[in-house]
Amino acid sequence: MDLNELQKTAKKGDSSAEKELFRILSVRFHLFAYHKIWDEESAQEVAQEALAVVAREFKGVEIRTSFAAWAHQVLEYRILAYLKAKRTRDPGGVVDAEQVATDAPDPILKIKLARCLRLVGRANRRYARILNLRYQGFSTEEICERLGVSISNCYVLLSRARTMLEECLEKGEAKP
Amino acid sequence: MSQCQDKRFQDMIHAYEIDMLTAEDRRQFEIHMLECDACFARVARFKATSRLLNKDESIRRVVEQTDQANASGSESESESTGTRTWWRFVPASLAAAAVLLLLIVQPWDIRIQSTQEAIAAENRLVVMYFENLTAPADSAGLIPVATNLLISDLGQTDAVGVVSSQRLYDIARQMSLSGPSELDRTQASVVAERTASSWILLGAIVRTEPTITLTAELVAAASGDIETTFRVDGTADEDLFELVDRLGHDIRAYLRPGFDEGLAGGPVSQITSRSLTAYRYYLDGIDQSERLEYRGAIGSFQKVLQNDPTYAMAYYHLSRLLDPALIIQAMEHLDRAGRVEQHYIRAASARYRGDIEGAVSELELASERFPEEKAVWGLLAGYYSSRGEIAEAITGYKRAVELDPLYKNGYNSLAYLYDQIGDAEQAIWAVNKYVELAPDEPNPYDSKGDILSRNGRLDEAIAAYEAALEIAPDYYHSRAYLGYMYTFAGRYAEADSCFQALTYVDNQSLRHAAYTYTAYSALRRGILQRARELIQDNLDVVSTPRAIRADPTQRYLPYRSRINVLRELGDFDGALAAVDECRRISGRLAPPDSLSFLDYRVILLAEKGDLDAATRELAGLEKRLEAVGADPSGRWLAVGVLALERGRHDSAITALRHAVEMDPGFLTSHYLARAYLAAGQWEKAVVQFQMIMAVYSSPRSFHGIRSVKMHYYLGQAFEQLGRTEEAIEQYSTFLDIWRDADHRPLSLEDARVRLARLQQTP
Repeated sequence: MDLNELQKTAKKGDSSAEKELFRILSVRFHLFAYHKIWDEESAQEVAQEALAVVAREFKGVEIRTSFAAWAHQVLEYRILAYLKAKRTRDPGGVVDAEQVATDAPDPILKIKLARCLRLVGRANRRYARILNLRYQGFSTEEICERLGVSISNCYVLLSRARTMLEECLEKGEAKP
Repeated sequence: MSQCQDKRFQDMIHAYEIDMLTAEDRRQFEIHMLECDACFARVARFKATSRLLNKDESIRRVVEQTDQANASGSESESESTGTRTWWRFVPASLAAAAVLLLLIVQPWDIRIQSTQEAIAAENRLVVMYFENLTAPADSAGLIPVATNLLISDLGQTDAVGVVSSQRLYDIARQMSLSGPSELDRTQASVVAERTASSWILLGAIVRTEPTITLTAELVAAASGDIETTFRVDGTADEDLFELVDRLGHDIRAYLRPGFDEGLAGGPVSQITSRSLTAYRYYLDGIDQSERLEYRGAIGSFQKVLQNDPTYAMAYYHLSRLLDPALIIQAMEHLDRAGRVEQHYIRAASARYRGDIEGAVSELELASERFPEEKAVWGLLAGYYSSRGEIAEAITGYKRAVELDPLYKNGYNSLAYLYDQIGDAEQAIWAVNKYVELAPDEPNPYDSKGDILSRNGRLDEAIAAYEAALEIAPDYYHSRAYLGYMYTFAGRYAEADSCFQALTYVDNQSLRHAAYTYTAYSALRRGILQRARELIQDNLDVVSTPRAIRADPTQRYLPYRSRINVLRELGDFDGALAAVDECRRISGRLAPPDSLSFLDYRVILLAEKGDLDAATRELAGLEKRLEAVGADPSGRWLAVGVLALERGRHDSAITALRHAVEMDPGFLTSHYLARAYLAAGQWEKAVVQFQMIMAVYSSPRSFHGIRSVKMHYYLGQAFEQLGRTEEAIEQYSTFLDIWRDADHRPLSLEDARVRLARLQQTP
């Protein structure tokens, strides 16, 4: 799928192309925002705000790089603004009880994940180490340095572990 | 769904999911995902898991523990073998005797035959109770011994999947039998079906002095055909333990040809006892525990140790029944316990050391390895519950009751847990199951009263508590709560009667507390002079030198009640003095610089109108909290009430919502509702007040004045929303409850004026 082409077609007035363009952007913006904010409602709000800007500007703005990069930038700014406003509004990190209820984890998934992490973590010790260091606040670069691997190797390690984790969650066993 | 064509981005997926991409890689990956359906779909599918990996504390702990275990080179699970069973069968007698075997030719084929088919390890075997062919009455108690030993022996490895003794016990009770000893062979196929077993083992004991013979036939559960038979002829020197070892070996060799017996671990006596006497006492103790005959069980387990001081599980049970420190001895003899039992011992040991995380990890591992052990799920659920992991606790208890539908305590726990997450329907279902399983016990009705009262069903709650007291008139909890419920229902004479009855009980703490309860109906009705007298009477009782020597903290409750009365009367200085007295009293239990009640001081000063003093107190409190790294809900309550008094409604709401989130009790919820009201957020005020008023609780009873005034506040909210009839109802209720009040606050007059106005309005 070429988003740039879709945007160009939409820009010319093709309403079905425009509809498809915003359909694609909508779900992706929400996912990206969620991966930063970890709250459904807020992620939806931020995504909608970014989409509104894109909808307003995409026909008129001159895009020098790619439409995808520009749209992504719009979202990034919205996410940053949200996070900044959150820190200003709530330095103590007050938790909204309703938000907590909405984002409550699936207890079955949690139990399965705990189990699979043990299995995968034992079979793939570096994965357990990487995750643990990440939780302790080390940056990716620091973790790679400690493990003596390059960043791209680290990504590959994680990718392999993910395959094991996914299989374990689906089938209940972890095969290295 | 097609694969992504760019391996570089494929490899980035998990790093993205756990936020480990560099900033530039993240940007590029997200831009890639805008156009790559494959990568987007994978990330989207993993969303919930990603959230857990990133945000969930318990998942972090799992990873931390796994990493640490890897690093130390040890594993949390046991490497030694052991049984996966509990000993739960009823022994016929305590007589120690040698066991004999009789060879039966018909109808069994006595030769061990090999079959063409290999029996997979996954095939499960249920061992039915042996028969004693030479002494059918089995006065020597050989049947349960032989049966349980064999289950233990086979359970030492995964070579043969044997149904545990506990599971058999649960199945027997589901079939309305007292224990598996009552399961006869005609029921074997039913048992096999319920335990999903492919094989049934029917064993027999023949004793011809001085030897014992064990025989058994292996029956295919589906067809009922005898697959093969086994026979072990003992010598005069062999005891029952050794014969069971040999029989176990033969069964394993048949069902798992090629199985390395070296993996079977030591003899069965290693994981039970070398003393038959000790073992019999152990079975006795288990059975007595099962029947809640704890005194008897303690005696039995103590006798176990007199005969075998290395019996680990005897120490374990005594640590639960008698002295937690005995778990240390259980740990010292850990190698003398079976596989699942080792998990129990290690978990209990961790708990004893205060390592709750370790206890939970141990049990989680046990739940993976032995998913049909009810006790594992029950224990695990208990820990989850204590950590506030309610959903996980519910899952655990649900699994336990699935395994044993007669597990009444599981239903009791489920009822309270469902109630905690606001699922009233399930809570009531669970408590009704509890009542169904134990209709002659008071606690089910008491629990039912609790659940119903917490869900606004006042009359039914009253009926439930009354039912509990009919069964056990001295069931103090029901008596006290019935008193609260009568108070809410306006049945004041009956309420007073309940509380008065409690002032005569043996339990001194309860007796003294009951004196305070006697003031509750007066408080609710606004008869404050009477309430003060009753509180003073209470103080007189608990302030005698003898009472103070016995328990100096008993004065705490009446002083707390006094705070509420004086506050209502506008005597804030008196209320503050009562707060200070509470601090002095509670300080005896807490460190000298205890922070308790400092939040109360802030609230009272703010409500008095001395905002500067309240601000100073709050600043002092926050400084002290910061120094100890504490952030209790009381702090946010104080912040919220001060903001409310200052007219900073938004700040008040924010702080009070935080307080409610940390502690959704009566007081925090009440102030949040008032903050909504003050801020003009009428709908939210209505919802909040109605939510509080749907719960008939002990704290709400304690804060009787505030509780009644909610009708007044709710009336105001309804009035603002134009919901006249509802406003009239609330004002009328308030005025009715306080019709005999000897106290005339502004709210009372205001309610009269408002009511009159609304009633006149067409």
